[in-house]
Amino acid sequence: MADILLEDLVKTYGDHEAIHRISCHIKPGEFMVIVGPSGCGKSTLLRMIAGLETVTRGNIRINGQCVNRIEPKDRDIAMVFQNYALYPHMTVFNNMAYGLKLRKMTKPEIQTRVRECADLLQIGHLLDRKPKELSGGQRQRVAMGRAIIRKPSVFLFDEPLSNLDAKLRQSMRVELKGLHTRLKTTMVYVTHDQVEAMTLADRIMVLNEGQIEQVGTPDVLYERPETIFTAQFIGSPEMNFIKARIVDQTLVFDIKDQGISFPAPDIELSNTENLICGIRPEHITLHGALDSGQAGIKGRIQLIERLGSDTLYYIDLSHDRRLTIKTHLNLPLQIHDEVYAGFSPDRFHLFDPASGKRLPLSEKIT
Amino acid sequence: MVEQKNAAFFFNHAVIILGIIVICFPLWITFVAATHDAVRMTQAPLPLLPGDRLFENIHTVLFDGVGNAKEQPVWLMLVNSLVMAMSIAVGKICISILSAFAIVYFDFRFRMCFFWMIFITLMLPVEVRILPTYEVVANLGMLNSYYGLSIPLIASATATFMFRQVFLTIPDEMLEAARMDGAGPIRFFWDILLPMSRTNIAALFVILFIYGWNQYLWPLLITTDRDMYTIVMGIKQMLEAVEEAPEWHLIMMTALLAQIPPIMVVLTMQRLFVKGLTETEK
Repeated sequence: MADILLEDLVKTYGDHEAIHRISCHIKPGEFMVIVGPSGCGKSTLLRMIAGLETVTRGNIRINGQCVNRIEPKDRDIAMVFQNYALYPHMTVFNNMAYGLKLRKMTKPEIQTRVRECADLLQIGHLLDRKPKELSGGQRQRVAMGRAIIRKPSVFLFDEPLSNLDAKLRQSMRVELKGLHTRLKTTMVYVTHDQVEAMTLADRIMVLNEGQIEQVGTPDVLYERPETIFTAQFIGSPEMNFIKARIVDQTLVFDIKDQGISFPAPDIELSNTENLICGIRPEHITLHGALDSGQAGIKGRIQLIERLGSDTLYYIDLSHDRRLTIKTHLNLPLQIHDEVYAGFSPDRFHLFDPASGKRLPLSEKIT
Repeated sequence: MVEQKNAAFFFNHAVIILGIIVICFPLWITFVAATHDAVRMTQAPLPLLPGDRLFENIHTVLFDGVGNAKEQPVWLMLVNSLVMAMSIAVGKICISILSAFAIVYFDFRFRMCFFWMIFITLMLPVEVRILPTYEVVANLGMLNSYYGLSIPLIASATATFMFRQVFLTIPDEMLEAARMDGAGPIRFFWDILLPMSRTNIAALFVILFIYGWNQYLWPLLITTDRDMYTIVMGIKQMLEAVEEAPEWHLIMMTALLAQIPPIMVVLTMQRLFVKGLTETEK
C-alpha cells in the first residue's frame, strides 16, 4: 500500500498546457477514479504517474518519495492498458512471468506466483494459450494478472473495460471491485464512463480541460456537485438545467408564459437575475393533470424510453426547452400527451452561470 | 448465365495453363538436356524426353567442372554463391532492423534527417554506383573475397524502410508494457520486437536471399580469381568455350543445380513468407 501525492502538476506539449496545476492526495489503499470527457487530460495524468510521460512542473510523490525522474519499472507500480498490450508471441504464462523474469526471480518462485495469480483470476486453464486464442474478457484478465503478479504498491488502470461488451463490462466491474477489496492496494483508474466511476470509486476526481472540477466520494459528487460541469457529467440521464432568477424572495423559473415560483434560499447574492437551477431527472414528478394548489410546468411528451425498472420521459416545454424526467412509476401516458412537471425545491442545485460554481447554501432552500 | 460462367471458366483456365506452359517448358527442356550426353545434344531434333545420364552428369558437374571453368568444380561455385547470398540476406536484415529500431523508438537529433538519408539510398543501387564502389572495395583490398562480394550489396534502404513500417504498426502500449515490466531497450528489442517481426524477417530473408543469389554484374566485376566465381556468373563463363562446342548437357545441369537453393529457401519459408507479406494484425 502506498499513497500518491500530486503537487501542482503541470504538463505542457509545446505551447499547449494539457494539465494545469493539479494537486491531489490519493490515500493508501484508496480506489481513486479519474473521470472526464475525452481530451480532458485524464490519461495524460495517469501516464505521468506511471512515468510514461515526463512531468513539466510540479511533483509526484509515491510513498513520500519524489518519482519525477524515476523509471517506470522502479516506481513499484503496475499498469493495465486499454487494449491490453499483451505480448502476442508469448503464452499467457510467459506474459505474466515476463516482468518477474526480468526481476531475476527464480523459476520455482515464478511458477508459484503465476499459479497463485491465475487462480485468483480464474485463468489457470489458459496458461498455455497465446493471446490471440483468448476472448476479450480473458485477455482483460491476463492483462490484470500481469499487473497483479508483481504485487506492486499501486495499480494504474487506463480505461481497461472500454473494449468489452456491456454485459462483460458489468461483470468485470464487479470483479475489479472485489479484487480491490481483497488486495487492498492503492488503485488509480481512468475512465470516461461515469457509471464505472460511480460504482468503483472510493473517491472520484472529475477532470475537465486539464483542471480538477471536483474530488469527492460518489455520494458527494452526486448530491453536492460543486460545478455545473460535475453536475452535468455525473448522473445518467443528465441533470436538467433551467434558467432562473430571484425576485422578491422567490425563485422564478425563466420559462416564457409559465409562471412558477418557489421560496428563495436565504442567501446574499450579488447577482439575482441570472442563475441556473439544476434538477436531477429523478427529482421531478410527472402528472397528467394538476391537483388544485399544486404548481407545475406544462409540456408535451416528446419521447418515452422504457428501461424496465424506470421510464424516461422527454418533455418538450415551449421555446426549445426540454426536461428529462425519470420515474419508476408506470404512468398511462403516450407520446404527445400534455403533462405537468412538478418540483420539490429541496432538491434544487443552484449555480452561477458566470463562474460555473455552485452557489453556497443552495441546498437549504425550503 | 451458365454459359457465360463456363466461358469465363474456360478462359481463366486457358490463361493459367498457358502461363504454366510458358514457365515450365524451358525448365523441362533444361532438365531433359541435363540427362543426355554431349553427342545427343548436338543432333537435331533436340530430345524432348529425358535420357539416362542424369546421375553421371550431376557427378561430372559437381566435382569435375565444366568447359572453360574446368578447374573449378560447380560445388565450389555453389558454396561461393551460398556464402554471398547468405551474408547479403543476413547482413541486410541485421543492419536494417537495427537502424529501423533506432529510427522508430529513439528520439535523437536529426532523426528524420537520418531516415531520409537512408531512404535516398533506394535511388542508388549497386549498378548506379558501381565504379566508385569498385574503387572503394579495391582500395580496401577486398577484391576476390567474400567481404567484397557481400558488403557493398548489404547497404540498402529497402529493408530498413520495411522494418520501419512494421515497427510503426506495433502499438505503443507494447513498448510501455515492456517498460513497466522492467525491460530496457535491448531487452525490448530481443524479447518483444524481434519475435513480433519474425514473419517479416522471414519474408525479407527469402527476397534478399534470391536477390543475393542472382547477383551477376557485381561478382563479375570484382572476382578475377576463379576460386571466387559464383554460380550465376560461372554459367556464363562456361558458355565462352574458345575451341570446342559448349557442353550443353553439363551447362544445363549446372543451371538446374543453380536453381535448387533458392527453391529450397522459398519452399521451407513459404508459410512464414506469405504470413509476413499479408499479416497485418499484431
